[in-house]
Formats: sequence, structure tokens, C-alpha cells
Amino acid sequence: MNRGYAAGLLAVVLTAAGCATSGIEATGKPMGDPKYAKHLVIHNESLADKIIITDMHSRVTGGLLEAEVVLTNQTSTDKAMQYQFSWFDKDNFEVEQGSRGWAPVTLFGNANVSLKAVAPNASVTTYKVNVREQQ
Amino acid sequence: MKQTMKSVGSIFAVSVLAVTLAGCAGNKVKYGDAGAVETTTTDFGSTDLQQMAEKMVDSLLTFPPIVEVTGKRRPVMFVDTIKNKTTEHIDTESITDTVSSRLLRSGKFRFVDMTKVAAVKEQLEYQTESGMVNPAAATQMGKQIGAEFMLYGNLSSIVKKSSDSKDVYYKFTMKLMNLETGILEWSDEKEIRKTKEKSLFGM
Repeated sequence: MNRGYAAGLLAVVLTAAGCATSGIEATGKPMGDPKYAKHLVIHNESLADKIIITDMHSRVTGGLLEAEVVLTNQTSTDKAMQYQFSWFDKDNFEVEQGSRGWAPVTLFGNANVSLKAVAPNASVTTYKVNVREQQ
Repeated sequence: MKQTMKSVGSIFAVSVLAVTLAGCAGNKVKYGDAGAVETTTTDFGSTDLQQMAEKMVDSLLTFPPIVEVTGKRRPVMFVDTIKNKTTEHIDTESITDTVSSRLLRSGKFRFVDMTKVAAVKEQLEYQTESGMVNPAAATQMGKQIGAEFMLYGNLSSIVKKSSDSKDVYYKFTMKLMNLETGILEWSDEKEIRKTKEKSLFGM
């Protein structure tokens, strides 16, 4: 679909074949410097050609960071994916580590899906989402 | 004699080798990721529990009227049981434990634990009536704070089977009631669909 937009989100691209997530990893820092607001790491280039992150946005609701990431399937076939949000405080310490498991999501062909999550507490300033194919 | 000893030695060596190999062929134990997506069967599993708890906690913490209430104070809640209406044996207390732990750790709510009322009563009676505890240091009875809200819910399922496939639909509903007014302040649902199809060779 719109690869240009995904490229716009791309602050840093690293290729790390055989990494633990073997997928796509994106970090949003809404309260930080906008220049470094988003950070996308691709661990699996073949997957990154098929599934792209077309939008990332967030807001603070009742003191808690609420994040939404939009995934787009660029292929015409359905894809069984998994995603996981993780949360970090202002000092970049992970908050409530492991509290959110991997969640399954089906991306229909040439369709978008929104992944939403709410931070576990008010200390969270940054979120990260990992996306990988179902194993 | 020497020949017999040699044979015994050979048998012993073969036995040791056989036992060792049998040991190698046994089950292998390893630690896995507790947060990994689990698809062993279509039965209710850890991924279903985690998804349901996450959805409910996220929904409750961001529902505008609840945000308004928790912005001013930390309301006290108690968790009633989740009614299991499925045909499976499911430990629904595990779902409520996860939901209440996350709500508590969000710093937005406080809880009273109704499963420990008898133990608390026994301890307070010991402190105030046994004569063993210094009255000045004893925790006084009758000072607990009552719950303002009750959290409860239902878990139901629809199972459909054919000769080569199985479809399981779970619906988890949670509600939050204001105990004083009886009004439902919040409710949400999480639906999960799991399907299983037999492969070509029945593997």
C-alpha cells in the first residue's frame, strides 16, 4: 500500500537476521523529542516487504499512555501474525516486564488492522510493539 | 573362566549403553515463554486468558466515566466470581486474579479480598479478644473500608464440530456495578474464535 509512509516512520533500520523476535519492532515516544519520536527496527526483511506499519499514534487517558499501531498487509493473502506491546519509563527501564503476552491477530489480504494497548501504569513514557509471523 | 568374565563384561557394557541411549530417547524438558501464543488445542488456554484480561483492563482504565472517577480518588472494588457457562472446566478465578492484579498495579483502584474475610476475622479476634496482644498495638475491628464497586462477569462458549473441523467461540463479559446505586458503570466483551482443521493425513 503506502510504503512511503512507512519509510517516513523509519528513523533507523537495522537488519538483524536470527534475532529473538524475527519480526518488526517499532518504538513510539510521544512525550519525547518528535525527531526521535518513532523508531522502527526490521529483523525480518522478507516480512517487512509484506507487512508494514502504516501509522503509530498515542494519547494519554487518565494519566495512562494509550497506543495504537496500524498494520497493513501488502499481499492479497491472509497472514496470521502475533504482536506484543512493551512499556518503558522515562529512564528507559521496562515497566511491568512480561505483563503482556504475544497476542494473535489475523491480517486479511490488502487490509489494515489496528493494534491497541494501554500502559500498565502512569510511569510509562515510551512503548514498543513487536510484530512477527505466527510460529 | 577368563572367557566368562569377558562375556559378563560385554553384557554389562551393552546394558550401560542401552540404559544411556534409552535415557537420551526420553522426554526433554525446557522452559518456554509464558507469554507465547499457545495453540496446542482449541480448549481454553493461557493466550485466551491473557487476551481477555488485557482487553478488560485496557477498556476499564480508559472508559471516560471511570477515568473521571479514578482521576479524583482510588475507588475500592471487590471481585465477584466469573460464571463459567462453557462446557469446559476453566479456573475463572485465575482470570479475575489477573484482572484485579493489573487494575491494582495501575494505581487506579484498590481492592478488598472477600476470599480472606474468615482469616482476617480470626486474626482480628485473636488480637482483640485473646488477651495475648497489647491493646495499644492491636489492629482495631470495625475500621475496614467497604467496597464501592463490584466487578463480575460471565464466560460462555459455542462449540461446533464436523468430521474434519472444530470451531470454538468464546465470549467473556465483565461488568462493574456501583453497589450503592445498583447502576452498571461499565461493561465490555471480548470475543475469541479458535478453529481446528484436520490435516490431509490426519496428523
